[in-house]
Amino acid sequence: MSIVRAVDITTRFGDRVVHDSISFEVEEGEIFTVIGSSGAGKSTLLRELIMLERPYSGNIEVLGRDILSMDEPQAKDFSKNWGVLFQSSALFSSLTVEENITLVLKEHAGLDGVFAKELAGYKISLVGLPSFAASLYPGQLSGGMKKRAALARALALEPSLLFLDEPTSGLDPISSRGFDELILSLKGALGLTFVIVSHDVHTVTDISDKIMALHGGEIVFLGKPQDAVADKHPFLKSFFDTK
Amino acid sequence: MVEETVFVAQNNDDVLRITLLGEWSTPTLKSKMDALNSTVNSASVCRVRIDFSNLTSLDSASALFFKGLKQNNAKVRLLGFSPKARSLFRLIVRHTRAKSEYNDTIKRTVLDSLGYRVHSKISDFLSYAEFFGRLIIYSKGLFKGRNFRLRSVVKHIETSSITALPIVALSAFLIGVVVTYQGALQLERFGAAIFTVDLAGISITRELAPLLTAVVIAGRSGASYTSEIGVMKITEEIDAMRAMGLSPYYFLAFPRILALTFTLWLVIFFADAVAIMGAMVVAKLQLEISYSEFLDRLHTTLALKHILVGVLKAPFFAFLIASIGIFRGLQVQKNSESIGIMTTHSVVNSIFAVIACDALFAVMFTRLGI
Repeated sequence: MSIVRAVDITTRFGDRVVHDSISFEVEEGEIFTVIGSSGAGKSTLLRELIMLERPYSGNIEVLGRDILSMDEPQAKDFSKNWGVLFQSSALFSSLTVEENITLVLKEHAGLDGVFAKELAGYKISLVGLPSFAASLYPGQLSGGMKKRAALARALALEPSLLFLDEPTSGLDPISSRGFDELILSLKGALGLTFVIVSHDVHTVTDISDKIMALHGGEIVFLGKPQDAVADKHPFLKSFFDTK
Repeated sequence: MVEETVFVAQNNDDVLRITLLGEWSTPTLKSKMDALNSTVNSASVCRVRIDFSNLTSLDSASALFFKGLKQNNAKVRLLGFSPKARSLFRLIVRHTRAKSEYNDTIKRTVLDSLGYRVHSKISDFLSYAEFFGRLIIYSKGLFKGRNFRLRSVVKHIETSSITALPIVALSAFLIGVVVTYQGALQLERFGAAIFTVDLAGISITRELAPLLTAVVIAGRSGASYTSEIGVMKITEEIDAMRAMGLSPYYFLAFPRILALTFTLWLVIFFADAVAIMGAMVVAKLQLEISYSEFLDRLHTTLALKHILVGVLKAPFFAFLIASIGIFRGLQVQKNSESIGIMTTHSVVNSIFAVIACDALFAVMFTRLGI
């Protein structure tokens, strides 16, 4: 079953065409990575999939539902079905890590008290953070810890689909590989589907099941990472040459 | 939504058999948990068997709930795990700690919070004193090299004094109107209408215009200093400055303090003039004192010292407003809430400081007979 199905997506900023009628599908349980030069509309595409922006034309189905025809209350309700990790982590800075997670549990599932804290503690441990991190504020965390905490928050309602925008940007190579491993282990443990926007060559080649390369408003590659490495397109060649 | 059946319970021979059905996931867990708990509690049996074999799906939160259920009541048995559920339970056991570690937050008594508040007030005051001390130390180097930033001072004169003139003018005019109107109502009854001019002239120049201007500037420029510097604190601009060997005192603090200290007296003088214009208008309308009569009377009663007393206070007010604004900005922590808290503190503190300072001057001038 395809988890995300996008058909003929066209996006425009004024006269500039960002996506020129692109189509793709994300299958259940796969790690789908979107790559592309900066300004190629990777993040915009992600924002369209999570209903923060609307494409100029086209159709998007997520988890079998047409998200572009939803009205606002439906959209609000439906967004519980996925988790999002933003590039800048976007943790609520006046709440502790634990409160960032219990807030979601309280608002969307009505869970509170010790049970919510226990559940939050489990998610915090699951993403590989030490237990003392629960009572820290985002301002007190390192970059890598922030990303992990934001992932724990994205996992709060345990959605089957996660969107990650540049999960390893701003992290050192060791933390980046640690984060890649975390993504793989979560996929195995909880059976999650990931849609990742990345420019990290390692994330692309080591953990992705399928990659999509955007260049000049079009999909220049869609397939397995090992085929992408061998592809002759100038963008892909330069992307993998930097390795 | 139709209420779905989430489990079936059978009660026989002191054993409650519960067969779980459907999907158990976090968003809808609450009602299922409550239903299951109440079934178990009302059955009053000593053994409970929970069968997982008919479940369509199970997530971590639900698994955590069943694990907790097991701990609450020793006689609960969980059975019929699918391989997926089994690995989920293993994951839960690996990543959770004893329930007692998650116990509720420490409750503060009234005495505790009183203590915290007093402590934070005292430490706030001490850190302001430290900031004040640093300003004095740094002021020695102010005119060495490029530490004095004229361009920046001029910019702040524009943003915190010149652009404040319209709102100061409007407020001052209205205060002039109000004071004269109230004074006229009272004095007219004694046939002493002309003394309204004395009342308005002296009270405006000595007290009302300086105080009003200071309060407007504190709410306007003091607050903007705090939030500007607070955001710079959050975005690490201030750390960047320090790391590059640029002093935030010379870059941020002194230009703002000097700008306000140099110009607030002019703004107050401007407010004096506008407020007296307000008074003149009311005097003409209410008491039929013509403009020339008003000015003539003002000329004989309003000694220069009254204007000077008002204007002399300006640099002190300006220093308090600017330094408190900057101090609170530097106290901002790395979270968005703290900007709001510190801006509030900044305005409240600087208005209080201005009023206290004004009271001090009033006592002092009275003692000196000025």
